[in-house]
Amino acid sequence: MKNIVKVLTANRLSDGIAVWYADSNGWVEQIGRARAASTKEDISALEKIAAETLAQGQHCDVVLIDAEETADGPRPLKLRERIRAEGPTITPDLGIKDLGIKDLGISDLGISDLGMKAA
Amino acid sequence: MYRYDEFDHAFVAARVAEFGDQVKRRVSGEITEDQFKPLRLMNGVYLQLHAYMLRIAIPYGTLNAKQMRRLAHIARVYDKGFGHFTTRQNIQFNWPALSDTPQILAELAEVEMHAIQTSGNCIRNVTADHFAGATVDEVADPRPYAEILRQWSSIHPEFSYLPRKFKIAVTASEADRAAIQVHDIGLKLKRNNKGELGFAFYVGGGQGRTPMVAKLVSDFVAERDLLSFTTAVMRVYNLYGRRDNKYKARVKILVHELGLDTFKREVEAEWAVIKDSELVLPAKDVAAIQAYFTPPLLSDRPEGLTALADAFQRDAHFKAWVRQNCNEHTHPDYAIVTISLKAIGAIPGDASHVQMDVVADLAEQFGQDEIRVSHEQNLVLPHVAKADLPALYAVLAKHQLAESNAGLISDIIACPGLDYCALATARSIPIAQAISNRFADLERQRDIGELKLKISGCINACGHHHVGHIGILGIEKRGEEHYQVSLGGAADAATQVGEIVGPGFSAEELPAKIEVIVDTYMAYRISKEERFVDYVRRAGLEPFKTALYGQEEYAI
Repeated sequence: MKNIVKVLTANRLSDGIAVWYADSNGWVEQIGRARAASTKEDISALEKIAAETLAQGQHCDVVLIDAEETADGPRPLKLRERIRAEGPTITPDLGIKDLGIKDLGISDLGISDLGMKAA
Repeated sequence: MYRYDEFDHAFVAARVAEFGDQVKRRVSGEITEDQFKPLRLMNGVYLQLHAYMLRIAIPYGTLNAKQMRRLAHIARVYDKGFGHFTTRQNIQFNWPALSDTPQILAELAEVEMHAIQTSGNCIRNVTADHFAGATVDEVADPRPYAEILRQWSSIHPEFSYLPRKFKIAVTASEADRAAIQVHDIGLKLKRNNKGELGFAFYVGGGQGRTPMVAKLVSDFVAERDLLSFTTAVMRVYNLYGRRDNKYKARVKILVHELGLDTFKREVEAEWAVIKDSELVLPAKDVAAIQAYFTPPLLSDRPEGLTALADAFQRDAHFKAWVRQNCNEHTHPDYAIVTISLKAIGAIPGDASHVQMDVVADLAEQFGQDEIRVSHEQNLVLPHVAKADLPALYAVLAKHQLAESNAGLISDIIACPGLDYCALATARSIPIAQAISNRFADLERQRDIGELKLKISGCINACGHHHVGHIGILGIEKRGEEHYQVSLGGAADAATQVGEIVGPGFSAEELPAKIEVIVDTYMAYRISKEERFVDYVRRAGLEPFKTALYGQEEYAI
């Protein structure tokens, strides 16, 4: 049986990257490190942090979402939130943490060889 | 192509500075997100699932090599190395930081590009036939009129806060390649029996949750009346369009609810007041804009036919590519080349920064420095000498840009879907990739013939699924992705909304079900000349229902 918890998520204002609230570490990019709330009191505490975060204005779309407890930490229940947490499903090499310059070329995008004659 | 004048440069520079200041004030906390959101949207900046998304306008899909190189540069420096060309002939970047967007916009302004009016309830980027100015079947180049509309609609004070977004498309040929009848306003450039230019004026088309084919509001609006008649339509919409319900706010709903005759009467009444006002389009102004679109001086290259014949002998792949991806040009020694952004298994519409640079180089070397973006998410070089096609093809093939599939089943339109989009309810891209891989055999694709497959990841229909010969709509059903299939849609001269074939399918089931649909058509078509969409129109949905669900189980 799934152990359902709440986690607090947002998008960072400066770069829009999805982040999760993780206690003393503040906001982190890995949902596995997020603070999970299961009791009424814990959920209330996260709601209070959400309100404070919104008031501070450095995050957008601050919401509590449902997740399940796993060995690797919380994992969102809804596909939308899972994709948001784990990155696009089609290009896993474009993980959400890497915003640096990256020469993907086209071969890195997983496109099959067309078997066409090169010049 | 159009070049900025002093006013354009000053206007765009002022907007860049203004937006830079707005970003600064937002980051400092001087303005709230609620205050900032409409401002960033006016400059094409969305907040999506993973990051911000920047949508950059490419007016009527026309750009030059310098501009394409700048897009490659932005992909390389500010994004993750790629961009996504859209069904509005624009480009989107999926990963820019908000703090970088003022600099990105400043660098775009240097090459006469911007992101203004790529979002919000205003008149969006005006689209046009991607073969404009090169194709044999047009009465005149439609782009000067698209440019006139762009200039007229840019920060138009009366039409910047419409009930909803507003999309205009222009074509000049019978074989409508701009999907004008699924636009809020669709214009078909034509000549009357006196030989004068004017427009068949369609209003109230659109997709989304309520798909509608546009109605013909006037069979001929003279060139001089383009802006006054458009203004009359916009005023009627602005006055009567619903603002209480965003799902009923598009002009298609107004035309539907008022009825075509009443809507026309309202437009005529408004037009009567402004017809001879300052909105009359002076012939000299039209000529001045047309001068920007003077066709390139193409020297005769009669050696092309021999060169092609020789290359066909040597390379069957090249021959197949020419036949599938090249169209006749007004100059017999030249061709219009479609560069497919749909390599088998690739993400429809995506191009890497390397590919963008390659296309820019090729446009300069072989294509008169002109590139088009098609609403079908491909690129086009409109003026290439047939003699240069072998050399062009060789370079394209090296960079996975030579798929010979223009108009075939793997030439799929797909929106970003749930992999990126905050509005999506299901993924689109992996479905496109799975179908593309399933039909990878080009010989089989050619045997199937023209088949336009379009996928949207939500009811907003950015992937144009309503007008796909095969349309796929991804929805969420009990927490799972689920895909509805419609058949028989089209967005050409015979525009039609497709009909749902029956109960939908899971992502895992879908590619095999698409194959069943295609196999059904192949089994029953009269001949290869009967295209998939022709067969659906002739036979209806019954053969497909039977094949997909069995004799008795297909009732929805």
